[in-house]
Amino acid sequence: MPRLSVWIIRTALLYLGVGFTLGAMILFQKGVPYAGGVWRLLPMHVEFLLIGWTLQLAKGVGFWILPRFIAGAPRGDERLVWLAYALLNAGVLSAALGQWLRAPTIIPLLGRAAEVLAAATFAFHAWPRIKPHGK
Amino acid sequence: MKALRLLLALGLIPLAAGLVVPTYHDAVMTHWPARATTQAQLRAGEFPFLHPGASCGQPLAGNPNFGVFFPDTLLLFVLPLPVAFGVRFALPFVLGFVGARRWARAEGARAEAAETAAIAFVFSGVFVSAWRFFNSGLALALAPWVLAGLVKVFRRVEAADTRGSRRAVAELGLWGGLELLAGEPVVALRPGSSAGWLVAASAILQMLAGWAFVANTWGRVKER
Repeated sequence: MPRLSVWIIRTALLYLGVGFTLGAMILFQKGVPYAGGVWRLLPMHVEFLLIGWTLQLAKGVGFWILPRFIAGAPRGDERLVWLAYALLNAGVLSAALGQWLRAPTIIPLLGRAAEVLAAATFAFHAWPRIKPHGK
Repeated sequence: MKALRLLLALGLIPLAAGLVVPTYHDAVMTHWPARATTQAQLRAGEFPFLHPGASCGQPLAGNPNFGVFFPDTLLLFVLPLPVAFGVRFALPFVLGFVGARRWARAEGARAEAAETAAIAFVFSGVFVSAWRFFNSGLALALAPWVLAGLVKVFRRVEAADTRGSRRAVAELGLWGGLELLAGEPVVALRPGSSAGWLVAASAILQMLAGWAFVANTWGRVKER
């Protein structure tokens, strides 16, 4: 597994653990109420598990297993994926923390924009790798 | 105590034998006709989907208030309607008494204390008020069984008794299922609200499962 995939997948695993913890805090509140404010963690729980874990895991695995090039760098320009990795995590944290801390709307909005940009950057990198075997 | 139990049981005989029929409110206006329709349809070999005599046709099995799926519906095949209907009213008293006793015992009360709790429960204002209704009386009578099951689950889990825990969970499932089939969702939710700790416990287990997966996978995600 390439170093970049290790970074992406391990980051996704951290989101999984934290996302599950936030979900458990909310579920605990449903069973035994202890702090109504815990419901404010819901958007962060969704963001961490949907984007931080699921999408990020797909990206990490995708970068690792998509067909490689015969000539040149086997996985193409890795800098694009590093950029997508940075953008996605900046986006997830801005959107999640921005909503939790009730930051100005522009913060979560910028986060969303970073997530879209991350997806586009990764797609730009992966596009040429979607090809028949041996080409 | 035995004499008192016998006295209470004797008091239920006219009801269970169909010698008296509850006629209060819903009992005679709603549930007696619905039960008669259910019996006629079942004996004709049909599934009681529709209650044709109510409001130009109403769902019968589809309306949980009629309790069609509660096991005592089977009595309609073999018993006359007044008897089956009376049993439906006698049954909650017996279930309420035994269930409250069982719950008290599960909580650690001595036999005499549990017996007193059972008598207090079936003669409490809440139970007597609910008992006159076809569905809520039965649902309330089953609530102590659900709570007793819940207490047993916690006790067995605390004692790390795997086999006993499974049996207790199965018992809780059985009484919880019957509680829902009794046909009164509001009452059914009351013991359910006490199951909040079960929800909380499952939250912790899910979180631990998540972190266990992370810990297990972390080392396997490595450069090669």
